[in-house]
Amino acid sequence: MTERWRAELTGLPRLDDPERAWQRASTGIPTEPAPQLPPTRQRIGAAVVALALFAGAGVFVYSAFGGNEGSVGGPEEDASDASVLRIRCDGERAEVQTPFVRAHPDGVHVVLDAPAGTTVIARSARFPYREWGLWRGDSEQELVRTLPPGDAFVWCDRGSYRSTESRHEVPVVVDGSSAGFVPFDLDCRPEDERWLEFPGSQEPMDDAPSVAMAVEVAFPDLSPLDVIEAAGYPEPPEKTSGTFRVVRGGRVVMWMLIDTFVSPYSVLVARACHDAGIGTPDRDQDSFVMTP
Amino acid sequence: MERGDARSRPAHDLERLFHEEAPGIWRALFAYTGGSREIADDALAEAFARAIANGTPIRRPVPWLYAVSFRIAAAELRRRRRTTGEVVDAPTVDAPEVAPVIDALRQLSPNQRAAIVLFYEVDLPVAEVARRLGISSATARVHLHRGRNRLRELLGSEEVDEP
Repeated sequence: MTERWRAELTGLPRLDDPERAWQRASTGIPTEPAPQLPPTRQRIGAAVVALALFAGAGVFVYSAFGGNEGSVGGPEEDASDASVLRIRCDGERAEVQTPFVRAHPDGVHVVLDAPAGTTVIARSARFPYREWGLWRGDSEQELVRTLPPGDAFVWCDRGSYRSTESRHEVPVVVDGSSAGFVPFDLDCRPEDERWLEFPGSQEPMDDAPSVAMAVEVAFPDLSPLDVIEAAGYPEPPEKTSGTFRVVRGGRVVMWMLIDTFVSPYSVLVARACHDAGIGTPDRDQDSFVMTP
Repeated sequence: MERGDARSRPAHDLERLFHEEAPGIWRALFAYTGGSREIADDALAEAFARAIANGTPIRRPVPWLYAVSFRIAAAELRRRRRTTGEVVDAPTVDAPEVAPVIDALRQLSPNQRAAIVLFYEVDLPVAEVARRLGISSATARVHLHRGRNRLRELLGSEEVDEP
């Protein structure tokens, strides 16, 4: 017996005729020529265009943040006090129509004016090592994401796989004053924060019937006096995972993302102050790029 | 798993590598593109063609082939969106019974789709899924977690007989 979704996956098509595919690869596909630099005149022209675009972006940001009040409002909202973050993607370029947005108890409500399949990434200035992905599926109109209050940046990405193209980041400010957000910023210097390795980190699930048990399995060296509590937005839309923090003597020393969809629960990722002595630093991980 | 320098090996070694790895790469590409057999075929062939023609040694050819083929597929998806506005072609599946799973996969992000297929269908451990996709293990775990939950919502989680 297996779950239906897994059984359905086994019906995916397979590579037809591997011999023919190998013949095609070994003889029939021309390789991509090395990129040729355009003539100098073209490069100068491109630089002028890029400068003009940069200047245009500067004018946009100036106007968005008060240089020209009321000029960038969304269709129904005041741009300086919006309840929905409206983002338009024009190719790779992002345009934010409501750069000041109020967060709700479940997070930031976002409306993407972009084709289905577009990816928008948000990066919080408070957690520069973590990104929040906004993936617009075919049927989704309004998204809710747990982007923390404070300064943030968004950009559009239509490729999403290891894009090396330059980002066109646009600033936004999330007002969390009435959202009840429980902070999980670590109380230590950024250079003293560490990602953690923990038992079971190579598999997606551990054998734990509760959040407390999942944490105990992953981090047996936590003190009984450490307080584990839910953090982030109080009513997150993502019911299948949650952010938790560990408070020691009034100090936040660790946060974790925990799979809470169905028992057994498991810790997905964890970051802690190095001096808290919790777990083992994960030296292979220097960022948590949570692209969707 | 690692198989040394692609340039210094005889051609039949790359052919053997193709027969061992191409089915898994192709399935991951098929899922990643949301069901485009054409893009999966082209990206797979192009990646191996580049490996054969590569002028510099490839120390770890399997992750290299995944990375190159995924980049090719991503570029093609981008090109099609620009020119036609379409994410991918209509699914070119042989059997209508797999249309629901293709539709469900399209509700996932490309990285979630690829992670799900590499973990559950190609049977790679999480660390290898991460290496193939060029992401951290933690990120791969979250892609798996979210993709798995979304597929449960869309396709159902009740127990059924193994196909």
